[in-house]
Amino acid sequence: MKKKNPALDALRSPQGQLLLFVIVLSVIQLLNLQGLVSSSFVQAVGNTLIYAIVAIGFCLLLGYSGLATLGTGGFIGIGTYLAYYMIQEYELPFAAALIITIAAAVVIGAVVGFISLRIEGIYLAILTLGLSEIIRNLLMVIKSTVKIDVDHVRLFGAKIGSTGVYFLILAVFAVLMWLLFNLIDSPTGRAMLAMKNSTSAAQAMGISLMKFRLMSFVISVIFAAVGGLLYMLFIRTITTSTSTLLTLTTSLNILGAVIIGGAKSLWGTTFGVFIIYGLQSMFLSNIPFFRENPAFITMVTGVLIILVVMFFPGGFAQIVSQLWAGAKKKLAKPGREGS
Amino acid sequence: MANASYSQVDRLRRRVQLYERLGELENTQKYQGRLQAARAKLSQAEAALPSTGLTLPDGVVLDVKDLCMYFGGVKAVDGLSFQVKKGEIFGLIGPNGAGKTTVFNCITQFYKPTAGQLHFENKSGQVVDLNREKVHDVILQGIVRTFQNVEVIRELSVLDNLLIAGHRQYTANLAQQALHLPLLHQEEKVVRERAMRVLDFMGLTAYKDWYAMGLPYGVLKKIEIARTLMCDPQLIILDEPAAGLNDTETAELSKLIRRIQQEYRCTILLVEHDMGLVMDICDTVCAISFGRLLAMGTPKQVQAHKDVQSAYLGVSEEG
Repeated sequence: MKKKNPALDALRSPQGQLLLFVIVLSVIQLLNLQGLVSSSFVQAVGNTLIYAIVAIGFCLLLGYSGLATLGTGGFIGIGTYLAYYMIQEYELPFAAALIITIAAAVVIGAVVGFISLRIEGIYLAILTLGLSEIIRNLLMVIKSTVKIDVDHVRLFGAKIGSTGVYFLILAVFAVLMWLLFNLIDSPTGRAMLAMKNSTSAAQAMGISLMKFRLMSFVISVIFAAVGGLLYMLFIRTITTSTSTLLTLTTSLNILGAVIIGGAKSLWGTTFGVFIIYGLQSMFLSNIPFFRENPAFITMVTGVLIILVVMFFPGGFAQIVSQLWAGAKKKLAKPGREGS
Repeated sequence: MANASYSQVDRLRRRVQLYERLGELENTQKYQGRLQAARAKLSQAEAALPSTGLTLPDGVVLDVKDLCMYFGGVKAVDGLSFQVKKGEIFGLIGPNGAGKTTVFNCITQFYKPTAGQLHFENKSGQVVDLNREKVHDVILQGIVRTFQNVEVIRELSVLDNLLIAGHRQYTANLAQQALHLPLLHQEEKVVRERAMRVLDFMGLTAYKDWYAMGLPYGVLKKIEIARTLMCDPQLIILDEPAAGLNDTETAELSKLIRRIQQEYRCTILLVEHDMGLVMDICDTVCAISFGRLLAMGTPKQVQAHKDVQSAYLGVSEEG
């Protein structure tokens, strides 16, 4: 009876949504090249996208495996410093830097994963916070300011400017998002959810807690470190002592983004990141009041988190799905109009 | 191949089953090549599987000998021995705190027993020492269990709950899953089809897309039992399956347990407080108190046993 709309059907699949997302964000950059959108706006979008990469990794950890860390900042730091040493000092190609970053993230993720088998819940969060501070201070002692020359930002030997890096970030985001969507919709994703809901049932069904805890930590640390790597390519400089990037603030913002967006929804999480980071850098900072009183920006975020947690524990993903269900009902009632 | 591990053999067996089933489902011959290759590998691996050197008397599937489980000074199970025969429904009864669930947790390796032997004849007819298995590998030997306080994954649909139980039937590795390669799709197809058959058998098909969260208790209990049927069980362990059910539901349950025993040709070991159910369906009943054996035999013998009456039946409600 119902007419099928291929475009709408495509949007129902994660791949279709991802494609639309990439197109929209590419258009923003293209508009910037035409001078129609300010480059600070594009900068803010790229920056937010980096946090989105970190956040979707965290989403798998929190929403699916039910584990939490407060060490995200430190894990990002690993990526930034590795990027500096690999790309600036040793002049390695991007691919090599990426592989080394991932390898380092696997080691750190595995260590935290092993710890998570012994220590759980809030204690684990505090422990990772400590670990992250150790990493941050260690990095600060090694070198307090790291900077990559624009000449060193190369992909396949060709110099890419910040425009190129923007597209690189977009591509990395799309690939990682696609892999995560696939993983969630597979025995691994289900096993993680099983582990979150009942460790004993999971074990009785043949799910090894060690394997999946390690896996979720490794994946989330990889995402954070890759985010750090891209950050260095995009922003190209960081002063660890003054930047909040490697601190608890980042970890909490990422946590907040995942909660606001909906811990089990990758799109929700991405949206949450755009609320937390994008809202301030893209919009609020353009309003004179907030520009003069930056503390109020954080308050807006805080109020949002409180509202969402109180009224929509499932985050924005829940709001959207409820609206969607409501819209469907309304559409179904008139009967004739449809589609 | 030098020495194959049991989990390797099990993986290969899954592959063989996958291609057999795919061939049936799609009604084609195109998997024949892969099927032959998998079969060859399997027989190779089976030949390389080291013998455990253990044996069990004829017809016995599980041998529990001198099982002890101490928690500090508390002797939850203290030198308990019993044998479960293949294909029977075996009931473990005893007053509250007698150590019944502890026995189950020892068999399924949730607890590592303080002492004692747990020998089990697994799906491939090999006798294994369960104490050597990791808790999440026990299912590979063909032992599955339910829990006293229903442990259903509430954030997943009923069908997905069954797919969780089929977790070890997937052989696709992480990369194959992250890229959604064909092997994963093939395995999903086969496991899903199996889950649908189990749902049909359990009369749960109507609930398949419902989230487990918010479903009535009786349905949740059924989901737990349905999960045990997902992995060719050799021994199903039910921890108080009738707890919280009303009389009609309990009557239904006893029919269901019999049907499972007949259709899936497996052995069922259950702990139950509902004496009516135990006396009705069990072939053998074993009564324990304070971690020690009181009596074992047919339901009637156990019921008539003096020690049992004083320890248990005399003081609690009659069935």
